[in-house]
Amino acid sequence: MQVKIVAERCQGHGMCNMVCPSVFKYDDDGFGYVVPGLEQVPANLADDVSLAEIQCPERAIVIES
Amino acid sequence: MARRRRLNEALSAAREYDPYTSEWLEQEFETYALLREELPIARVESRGRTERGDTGGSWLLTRYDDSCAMLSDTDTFSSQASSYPERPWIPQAIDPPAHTAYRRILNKWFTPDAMTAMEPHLEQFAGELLDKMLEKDEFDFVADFADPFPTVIFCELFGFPLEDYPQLMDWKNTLMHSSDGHGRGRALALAKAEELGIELDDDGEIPQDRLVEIWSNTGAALYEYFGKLLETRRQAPQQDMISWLIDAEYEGERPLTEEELLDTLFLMFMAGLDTVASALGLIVKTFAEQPDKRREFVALMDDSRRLMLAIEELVRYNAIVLLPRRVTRPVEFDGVRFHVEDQVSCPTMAANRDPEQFENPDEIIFDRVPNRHMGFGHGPHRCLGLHLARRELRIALVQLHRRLPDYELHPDHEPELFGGMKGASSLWLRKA
Repeated sequence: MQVKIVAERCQGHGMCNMVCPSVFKYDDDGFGYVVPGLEQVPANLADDVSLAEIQCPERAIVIES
Repeated sequence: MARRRRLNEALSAAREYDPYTSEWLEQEFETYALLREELPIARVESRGRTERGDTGGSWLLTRYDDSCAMLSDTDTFSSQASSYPERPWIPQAIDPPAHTAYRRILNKWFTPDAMTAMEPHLEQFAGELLDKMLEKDEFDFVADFADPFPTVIFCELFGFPLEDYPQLMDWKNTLMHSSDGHGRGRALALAKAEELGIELDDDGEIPQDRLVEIWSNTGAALYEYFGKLLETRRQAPQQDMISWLIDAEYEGERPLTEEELLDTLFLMFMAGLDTVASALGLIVKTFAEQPDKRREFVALMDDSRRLMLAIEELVRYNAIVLLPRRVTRPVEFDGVRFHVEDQVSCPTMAANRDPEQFENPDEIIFDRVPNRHMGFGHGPHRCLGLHLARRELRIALVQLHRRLPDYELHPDHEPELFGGMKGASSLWLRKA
């Protein structure tokens, strides 16, 4: 599973960080990014990353499996 | 025939649409559902409360998808949509790209990490207020908790001196709640009307076209207050947001001008002193009326993951904000032709109850997934303070229900509700 945040869509609602803080963090301007190295999602975090994708109000998270 | 009748009812509802009263709240969700089915983009005749100009009508969006599309398209739908006491508020009434630059400054103050650092203080202050409130067997939850908890915290964060707190709340209530069913707001506006020599109409109300004088007068007092506060902080900086704004740089190039500082303070003041208080009052009212849901919440609240989802669902269910926009260019929107200067309003409470997006939208489902609700807005203008708001709601609701899992509406005191940017201005409860 590959995950990314489409920067143009992200508005910094923070849902992904609440659901899966180890993969999704914030930059200084308050927008989300995927922690480098975790774009290829570890199996034990796959469910949380999927939930983050579903919950994102701006649909800014894209998963490719 | 039944179909035609329903369409006619929708047309009438659109014509009579006025969300700025407490009576409106009695049938708001039925009316939004009717409009969503029959006239999802409805031409409404507004009372011209916040709109530029006065008598012009506007459009009302009740579908979730339409609302998302509108709020994301800031080129077509400008946020500079109301009349303002002095100038448009920063950043709420500013469009990108300037909006992006202002938000970049403000976002840094409201990061999740910064808000998490406040949690011990939030816990402690919530506990203090609740312990005091619960010394009584019956109490006004809004007066004793929902109002002071988020607003005092906000004043501290911002750097508004706490001795000015009652005055600040009075200014806020005069500006935001002069005629929407808010008792204190109405009393303040009437007193101001007398002071300004404004005659009441035959119903004893302040005429709509004179309300603007009350707003201007109050807005001017507030601007003067902010000006003095800025001067004080320039002399003696503190660890607060005002001092930090004074030092902030626009695009890393220049400090904010005096006008920019004032317009930012004004918006922070309007947004920070009302929203969480309103949401808290409505959520606890919901829990008083739906004891089964309250018990479900109490049973899940020690599970941090379920609690996180539950707070989102409560915000979805109790959305309070109407989001106005102004059309900047002729555009066809799902077959409807919007003209330049048309007003478009997106009530988040309507979008959040769209069955196309939320199954059983009128039911609280604590573990609802997906829950891409609009309670904190959508697009570039999404609520700046949402990381603080979420923490305040979570801490307030958990602390309250740890101390008091069972309560009911007081039989002798009706809740006092207000429309518009809606909420509860009084909510008497008693221990069950």
